[in-house]
Formats: sequence, C-alpha cells, structure tokens
Amino acid sequence: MIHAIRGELTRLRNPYTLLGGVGLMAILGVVTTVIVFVSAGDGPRMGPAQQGVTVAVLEGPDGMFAGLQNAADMIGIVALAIWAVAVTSDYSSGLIRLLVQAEPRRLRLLGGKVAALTALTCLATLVTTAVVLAASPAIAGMAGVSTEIWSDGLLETVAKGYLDLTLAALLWGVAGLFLGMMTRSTGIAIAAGIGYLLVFENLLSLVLETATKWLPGATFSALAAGGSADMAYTTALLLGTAYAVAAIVAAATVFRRRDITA
Amino acid sequence: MSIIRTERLTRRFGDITAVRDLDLEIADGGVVGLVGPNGSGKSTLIRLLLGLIRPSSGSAEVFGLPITRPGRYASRIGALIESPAFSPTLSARANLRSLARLRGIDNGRVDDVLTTVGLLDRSREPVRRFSLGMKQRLGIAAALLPDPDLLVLDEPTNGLDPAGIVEIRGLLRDLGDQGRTVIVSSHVLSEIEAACDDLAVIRFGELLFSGPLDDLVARAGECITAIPEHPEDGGRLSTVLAAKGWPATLDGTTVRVAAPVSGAAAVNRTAAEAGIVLCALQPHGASLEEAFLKLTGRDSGDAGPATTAGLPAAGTDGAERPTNPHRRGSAPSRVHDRPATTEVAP
Repeated sequence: MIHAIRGELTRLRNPYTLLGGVGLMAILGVVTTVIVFVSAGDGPRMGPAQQGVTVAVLEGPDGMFAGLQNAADMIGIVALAIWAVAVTSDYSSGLIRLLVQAEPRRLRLLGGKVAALTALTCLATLVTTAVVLAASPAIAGMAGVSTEIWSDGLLETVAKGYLDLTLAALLWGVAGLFLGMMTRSTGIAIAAGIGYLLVFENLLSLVLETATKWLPGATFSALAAGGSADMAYTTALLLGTAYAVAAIVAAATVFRRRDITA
Repeated sequence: MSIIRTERLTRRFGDITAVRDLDLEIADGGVVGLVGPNGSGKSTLIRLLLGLIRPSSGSAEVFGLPITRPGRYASRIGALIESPAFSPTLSARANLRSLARLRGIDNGRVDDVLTTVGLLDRSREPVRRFSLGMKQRLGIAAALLPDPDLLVLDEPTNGLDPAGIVEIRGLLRDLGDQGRTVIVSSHVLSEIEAACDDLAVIRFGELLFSGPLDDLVARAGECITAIPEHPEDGGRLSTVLAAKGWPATLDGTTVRVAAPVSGAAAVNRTAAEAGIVLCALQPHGASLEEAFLKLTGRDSGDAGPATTAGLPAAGTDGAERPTNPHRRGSAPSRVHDRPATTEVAP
C-alpha cells in the first residue's frame, strides 16, 4: 500500500490543495478567533461564539483554543471538501481509469488515498493550530483579554487542542470521502455534507432533541470541543470512530464492486 | 503463444449487451488493430481486459492469468484508455511521478518516457496548458511507464498533427518489432493499415474477423471503376457488365465493377461493344476501409441502423439489413456483404 500512499501524496502536493485547503483552514481559524475574542463578554453569548465564550473562559489556560473550537465545524467543512474532491476529481477527470489500471487491487488504492489524506489533514490542522496560536496573544491584547495563565501546562493544552481538532477534521474528511465515493460529484458531495451536517441535523434537533445528540454532526462538534454538555469526550471519540469505520467500509465496498466506466 | 484469450466473454449493461460471446485470441508480439464502429464494444473489451469492469459471463486470460485477478498482471500492461486523463494543475512530470510511485517504478523512468514522446522540455508545465496532442503524448508516456509487455492504446493518434502521427506510428511499430504486443483501437483505418500486422474487427460486441490485416483486405477483392463519357450511360453499362458476369454497382456517375484488375481491357471492350465511351477506367485493389465497410456494413455505430441516402430500404434489395443485436430479444447479426449502392443483378 506504500506505493499507493506515495502516488496519492504526489498528487495532493499541488498548490491548489495546499494553499487553498490548508490556507483556508488557517484563515477560518484566525478569523473565528478574532470574532470570539472581540465578542466575548461577561456572560454567555450567541452568534459565532455559540458555546457561550466568556472573557473568563478566554483568560483560562486553554483560552487560546476557544476560537479554534468554535471554528472546528468550518474547518471540518474544508476537510470534507478536500477529501470529497480527492475522490470525485478522479472520476470527473477520468484519472480513475489510469489509477485502477495501474493498481487493480482497489482496496490498496483506497487505503493509500485515505492514508495520504489523513497525513494532509494532520498537516493542515497543524498549520492552522500553529497560525492561530501565534496570532492569539495579539488578538487577546487587542480584545483586552489577559493571557497571564495561558502558559500554565502549555504543551499539554496545545497537544490536546491539536488532537481534538485533528480528530474532528478527520471525521469530517471521512464523511467527505464517503459522500464523494457515493455521488462521484464534487458539488453534490459537498452540498450534501454541508446540508446534512450543518442544516438538516440542526433542524432535526429542534424536533428530536435527545436522539440528535448521537448524530454525526453533534459527535464531530463534541469531539472538537473536547466533549460537550450532551456528550462526554470518550463517548464522542468512540462514536466518531464507529461512524468513520462504517463510512470507510461502505466506501470501500462500493469502490471494490463498482465498474470503472468514467 | 496467446497473450490474450477470451472465451464466450460477455458483458451486459442492463438491457445492452456490449460484448457478446466473444472468442478472441491475440498472439504474443506485433501490432494488432482493434476496430469496429462506434458502440461496437471495443472500449468495453479493453476495460474488461484491464480489470476496470467485470464480465457478466464467459472468461478471459491475459498472459495466461484470469482477468478477474488483474492485479497479477497489471505491472506488465500499459494502457491509454479513451482520452488521456491527468490532474490539470500538476505538471506533466508530477503526473507521471505520481503514477510511477503508484506502480513502484523508479523516477528515472519518467524522464525516459518523456523523452520518448518528445515532452521532456515541456514537462514542468501544468497539464492544463497542454494542447490535445500534448496530452495525448503524455497519455502514451504514462502507458509506457511500466515498460510494458502489452500496450493497449485507444485512439493513440487523436489530436496529433501529421508529423506527430507519423512519429507515434513509428514508435508503435518499433515496440511491436521489439517483440511487445501493441493493441491499437482506432477509427482511423489508414492509421491501422499503416501500423498494424493483425486485426480484430468487432461489431455489436461480436467478433467479425480476427487475423492478418492482409487477409481481410484480400477478402474484399479487387475492383475496377469505370466512368462513362455520358453519365446517363451508367445504368446501361452496369447492366451489360452484369450480363457478362461482373457484378457492377452504380455510384453517382461511377460504375464499380467487381472484377480482377486484369479484366480492365475486357470491361473497356464490353463498354465499347455496347456503344458506351468511357472517359475513365481505373483498376484498383481494395483498401482496408472498403474491406472494413464490407464486413461491418455502412451503418454508423452512432446512428444505429442506417437511413443513409442512396441505400435501399431493408428488404427492397433482397438483402438483409444489419440489425442491432445489442438489445435483448433482437435477432443476432449475420456477417454479410451488402452493396454500397444499388446492386445490379447479373
């Protein structure tokens, strides 16, 4: 499978994916952090800082991650798009013919793609985390938020924040892979992903509050936030893994059986 | 030794049978043309052999290995299937490197194949800037990457300029002469004629002919074309020639006589005896195009059964028109020769 990973990484190493995808994640992280810090007050607020970010929270040891946690869904959508495009563009360009002919063991081909996209996502969230952390002291200073205790347990806080963001982005990415494989259309895959995870699931939660907290979108958000009031971190991790495994198995089954007629 | 062997190979897509009970053997080495009208099943056959799709029934082997396990022989095959497909934002070199890495091939081979197809100097440009001909060259380079024993090329000269066509034709011949097997699928029969040793002709998913190209051309036979000085004499000339036992067909002002080249003088004499003056008399052998059209009929694969002007309606000339057996329930096709124009009975 190592050949499949290397081949996929070579194709992912193009400026559109790197600058577009990774850059967009970093910009979203910084912009959301600015909004969260500027709009933070003494009590819970709505809007971009939906989890009720207060100045006290921002001044806490993990305050520097408040913006990233709020940006997790948007960063996740970018990851979903990158993974979906990586699949659908193979079909739309006809490249899938060359790839499957070169490596007819399709599960290896798909495994290589998943591994390469996982590496890219880890890199993208690493860059995003680094950019946001680098900008956070300046943003905090601009918003009048004290950063005195941010240095307490800094390494542990950063590692945990990066891990949560990355896991959430990977889950979004796997959702993109699944949708891309099922639809073979970039537009439909991304629209379906955003429509379901951000719109449909939120609307459903208004009707079926209890059941919806177990759905993928809520799970990904809980994981990015390091756990939520509705779902413990461990539960989010296990449930998210289950969703990812199910999505990958479904995508692999379809890819293995499907005729390559593109 | 056969490099490809199929046995009652069939592939259906819903109601459509793209490849039907195909029995085909292709020997090791040389350049083989795979020809047929549009929709004849050429691409489906190629996809089956490459493992892109699976057969509905029947079996096939490539290098003696079943096509249901293409992973066992993929490293020995290079292919250009339909149009060349690459990541448009990547350079030609990066695209080939990606494929080389996927195949576990050393990067040095990338430069070799870029040199072979004449793209080395442009290899750092993104593929989106390439012309169709350059993409085609890159597609051939990708097919050559694994230094394949079997090369399968679908319309390899598509988009190339005349010099490029000659160059690629030479490359294919060289590969064939080296003992590799090159399968070329093309609509351009002159290209097939110039590059190929053997031919497989399929129509409606069925094999119509397989063997040396010269055999097919010889089957079509020689003919003589005669043009009367007065166009209105064309019909009469056809009749008198037919009475002498030479089937003749009238195509506009030209009478095409199914007679050997050596019969030209006799044709001229017969015309003179009938009081018909000829302003042109030309003996010539059949071309691959004529042989192909004789074998497959003049129906375009795009249009389905023909309604071509000048062709008699089905049944009116006593000849069966080819039917499309793609659809289940329709009558199977029968190989037969059908006149291009009105046939004059002897």
